[in-house]
Amino acid sequence: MTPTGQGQRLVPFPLLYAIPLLFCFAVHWLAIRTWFSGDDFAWLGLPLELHGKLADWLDVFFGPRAQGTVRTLSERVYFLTFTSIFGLNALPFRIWVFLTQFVNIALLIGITRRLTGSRWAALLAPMLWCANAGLAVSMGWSSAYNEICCSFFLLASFYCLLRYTETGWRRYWILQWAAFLLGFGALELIVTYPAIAALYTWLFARPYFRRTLWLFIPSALFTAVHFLFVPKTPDPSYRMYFDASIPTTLWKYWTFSTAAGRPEVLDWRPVWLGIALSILIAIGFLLLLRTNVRLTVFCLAWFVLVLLPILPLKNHVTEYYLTMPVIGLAILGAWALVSYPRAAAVLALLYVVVSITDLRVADQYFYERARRMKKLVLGLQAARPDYKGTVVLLGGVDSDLFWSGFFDDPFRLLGIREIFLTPGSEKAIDPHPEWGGIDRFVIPVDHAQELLADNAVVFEVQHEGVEDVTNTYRSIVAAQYAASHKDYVDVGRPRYEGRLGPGWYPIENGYRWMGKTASLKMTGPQSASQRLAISGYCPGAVLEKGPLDLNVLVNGEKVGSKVFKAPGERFAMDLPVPASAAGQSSITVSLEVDHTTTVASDSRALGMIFGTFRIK
Amino acid sequence: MRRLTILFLCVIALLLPATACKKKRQRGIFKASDDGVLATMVHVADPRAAPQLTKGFYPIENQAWRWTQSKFSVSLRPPLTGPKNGARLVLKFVIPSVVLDKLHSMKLSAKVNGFDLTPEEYTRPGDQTYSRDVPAIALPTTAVNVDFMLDKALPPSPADNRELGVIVSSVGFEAK
Repeated sequence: MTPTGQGQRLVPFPLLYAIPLLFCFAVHWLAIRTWFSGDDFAWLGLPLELHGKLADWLDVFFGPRAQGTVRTLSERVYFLTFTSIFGLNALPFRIWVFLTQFVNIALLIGITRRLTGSRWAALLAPMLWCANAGLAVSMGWSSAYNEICCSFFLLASFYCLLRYTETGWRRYWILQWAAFLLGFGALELIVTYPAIAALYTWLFARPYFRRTLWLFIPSALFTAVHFLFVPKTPDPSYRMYFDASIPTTLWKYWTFSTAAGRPEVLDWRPVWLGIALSILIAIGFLLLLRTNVRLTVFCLAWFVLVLLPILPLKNHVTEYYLTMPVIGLAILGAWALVSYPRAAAVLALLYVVVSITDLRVADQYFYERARRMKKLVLGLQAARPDYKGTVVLLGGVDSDLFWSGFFDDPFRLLGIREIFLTPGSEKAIDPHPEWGGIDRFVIPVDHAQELLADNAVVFEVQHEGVEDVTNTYRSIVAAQYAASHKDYVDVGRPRYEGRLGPGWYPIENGYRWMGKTASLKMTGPQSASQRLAISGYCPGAVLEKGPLDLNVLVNGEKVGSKVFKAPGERFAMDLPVPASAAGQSSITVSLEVDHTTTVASDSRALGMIFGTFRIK
Repeated sequence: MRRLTILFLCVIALLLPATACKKKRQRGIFKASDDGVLATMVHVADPRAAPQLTKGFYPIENQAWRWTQSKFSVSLRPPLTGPKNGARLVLKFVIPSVVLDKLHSMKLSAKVNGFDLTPEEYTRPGDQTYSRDVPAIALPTTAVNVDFMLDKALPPSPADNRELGVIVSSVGFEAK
């Protein structure tokens, strides 16, 4: 049955194309404004892998990557071309996705018109497709462009087949082959196209059926190569299960395809609504078998056939995998709407409402997620023209921001080789060891202190970008360091300044002079058996008036003394600590010499030179 | 050909508005006004104070407060008179009834620069203030690390995958 008649003349050509395009743009408006996230940063780094050697180019274009995939056109060429020209400007990437989808819509209009004979159905099918919640990620995430790109090759192949069976022109047959073979550079799901082509010719153009069987050869070869030569991923999410889980997975995909059904409540939609609508739509489609068995079988088979390769992935049920399978349902739904407008309109309206609701939530989520990463990466880019040799510490990173792309290292795109979270701030991030964990970004306070002593810079992630807080953070990390190293003081290093009492002169060559008296604070020993170790240096100048007596007191109680007679002596003292000081969180160590010295070029009253104090 | 031209113009007209807003969104993504001076009293909703909230604080909520984990830390500048007279540590926070209904009581303790302060137990929900004198001996001149510890906190749940302690609005030193 092909619904024809008065209605066809009511859809003029410009509207037939313009309405679905406008609808697609309106529904996916946020997607064009969405920046990069997650895997995008891995692909954006492709130019960094090219060093002028042929082997580099071959690897970048044809080397197996994530899960052993080789998606040369939809990932390698796409990202390499756009990032080489536009850098980190996401808009051209997004515009290209929309342009591809607009071509897809045009192809789907042509296909639906030929399958159903109805311009109304041709108008409605792309709208039902674009409204599907499964397209949210495909349209909004550059790394999922492979779905939109492969849809193009699938639709183009099938369109050419339809034209070939209509006209018998050989050029359409050749174009079909070309589109089909190029589709292998977009996504592995193109292997299912021969089944669609064969089913179509079997049902609608039987004389061409045998010719379509040749299409299975590339698919069979690709499948064999994939299973024989591509290393299996250790990721359990991608393990295939050929068992009773397949119908369950199919049902999950069906409920999401037809009613954006989710097992949990995300918004106003109750869980039962998704299940009920899925069942009703399934019944509605089955009833269509009575009036147009061939079209119904073909469209439902399109859904199942394209989904078939991913049904064994029971641990990786992913919404955007539905981008291509739901094309079949969109054609069937459009035909149902034209054939039985009253009955189908209610279901179609419900489908559009729940699906767009879900789609908007997903779009908003990806937009916000990417927006925060954009503010961070572009903020860092604006902060410095060059990060060569500079280590970056980042504070204020929460779990959502971290898992929006830290793992794919967007920072290397700015030339940042080493980036860490400020010590302690990692506590705000879910560690997710199953995703690789956060350990490579975590450093202890001691390490942060050392990096700051070199040329590290510190940024705090703010709502609208980043703020350079290096100076502030120096004080913070010094306080943290002091709090975590209370049993040790090196008076010759600035980080211990806060522990020193009166009587000290500024640091000179990693040491400090004291005057007649000096003091410092450190933690008390854990037990009375621990001892106080002191190191220092006795220069010859202080012995000009004769031997020098040094007394050491802890909390005012004398714990030891030393008489210096030999000039230029490096010394170490090992002293007991009063039992009363044990367990105290803070003790005062006081030093006192019996006389000071003034040298010709220095008016200061000099007592003795000290280095470190340690409770051991 | 005419049809294709019309289509092409429609597509360009659709995509142009998205490019128009580009420059406006690039502003204000980097600030460099860092004087290196820590605040003595920190209002946790003040974005400028964020670097001082070194551990265990979640993002700002309702532009007023932050949830904490069971352990949270802040770096503060002691008052000018701190190293001589000591100071008073003040933490203002809320224990929501939903938390106390499950935990029944919460004990809060603090360490300033490793110096232990007396803990306090809370058994009623609502606004709370933890206030303790800090001896001069624990206060350096530039910055001090303050660690807070709760004996209990709400563990992560399906509704909220965060460990939840208390809701803090401000923390800092008052001069003595």
